[in-house]
Amino acid sequence: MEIVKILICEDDEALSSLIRFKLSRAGYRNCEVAADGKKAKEMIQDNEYDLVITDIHMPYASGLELTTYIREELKRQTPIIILSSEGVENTVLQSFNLGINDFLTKPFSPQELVIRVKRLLGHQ
Amino acid sequence: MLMATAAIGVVILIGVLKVRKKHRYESEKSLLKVIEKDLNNYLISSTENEGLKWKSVHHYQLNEIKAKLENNFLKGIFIGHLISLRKNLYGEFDEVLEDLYELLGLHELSIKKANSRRMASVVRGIHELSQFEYKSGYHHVLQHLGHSSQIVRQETQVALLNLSAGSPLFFLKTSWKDLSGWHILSLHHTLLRTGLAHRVQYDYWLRNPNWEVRAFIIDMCVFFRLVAHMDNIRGHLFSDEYQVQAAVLRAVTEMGDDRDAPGVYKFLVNTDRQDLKILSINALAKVGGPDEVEGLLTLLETDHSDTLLATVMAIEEISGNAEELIRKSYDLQSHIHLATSLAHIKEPLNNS
Repeated sequence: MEIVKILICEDDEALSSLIRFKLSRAGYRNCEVAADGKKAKEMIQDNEYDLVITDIHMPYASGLELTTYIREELKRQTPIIILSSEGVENTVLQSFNLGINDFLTKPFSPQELVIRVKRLLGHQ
Repeated sequence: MLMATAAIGVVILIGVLKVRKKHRYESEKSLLKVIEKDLNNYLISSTENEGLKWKSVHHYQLNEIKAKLENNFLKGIFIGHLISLRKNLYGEFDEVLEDLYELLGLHELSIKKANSRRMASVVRGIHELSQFEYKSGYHHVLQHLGHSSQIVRQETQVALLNLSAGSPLFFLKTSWKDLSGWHILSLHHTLLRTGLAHRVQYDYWLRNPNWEVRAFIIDMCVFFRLVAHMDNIRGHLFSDEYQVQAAVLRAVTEMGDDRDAPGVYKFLVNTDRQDLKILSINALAKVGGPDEVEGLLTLLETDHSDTLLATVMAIEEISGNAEELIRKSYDLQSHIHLATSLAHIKEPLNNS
């Protein structure tokens, strides 16, 4: 598997740590974590990621704002997976309209997340 | 002088609270940093690996975590981490997190909190026992059913749903107080999330002497679409309590069939309450046939505009030609309200 760079944007440290660990076990060892939306924007601006996994509710900038930033301002087509505790239709539709590639509702299965990551990166 | 002293006191108190909050935040961060690797290793190896080699690694990681949880303060923070993971994850980690909570002896701290004199601790303890579904903690939670605080009672009731998998709602037998809308939603959500809804002995609860319990159980049957219980539910239509009657009518509207129509019509013409009349008419709209249309046509003389509109809409829903049927019996020139109601159903936007 080529070296893939993934950004995990999640303010819950226990969760981001587990996601990173789970992904590294699946072979994705180059994962970075941003604990808030502002930091995530900075990291995305300075780096080219192959995939972004973002929580929808984060301090300073939400997952949706981050998506808009990536698609509209940076004009990048980086695959984006949104994690959200809101599985309501409006949020899901809004997210896809903004250009996300996948949506997972919390609580989610880490195993399922790995499968979706593999699929988006063309490793499955 | 007194005011100045009070002001200084408040400033000191705010300062102390801020320092405590900061201390907790920093402790959380440093604990997670120290424990992160062991915890992740433990969780992942629990779900991905089997065999003797991994069992010993597992044991080692467990002891490492145990050693780092030196005191109750750190244990409390760690429980918070585990709850956060449990709320965010499902699947392979569910059982592992429950086991870890027990293997680390964290349940003992939760039980201690549940038996504390401080209300905030009690709520936290109950919440923790509930989150990890620590069934042996049932009696430590049950004792709070009659607690003087509504917050404690509500937390207790939701926790008991989680902890009494064999007979959820067992606690209804002894306690049915202050059931707010939020709490009913919580109960529904807990039953839905835990998959316990189908294990509830609905027929048993429908015989409960407390009408609130009966009304709640009927609403639950509707919420979970438990059509199989309709035979039992329809028997409560002529109950003494109007809340139970209303619940039955809601159930008929959602899950009834033509067998319900004669009973509902009989109820409609005998009740004096306008809200129940409207609920009955709405139910008839779903389950009624030509006989009920005949009956509804005789009820159009009412002065109550909402009842009139509901009746006209029900006739239309059952027959599909309300206007023609009504014109046969009524002169719309002299029944202005009736004409207005008909205009409502003719306008498609009003039918939604």
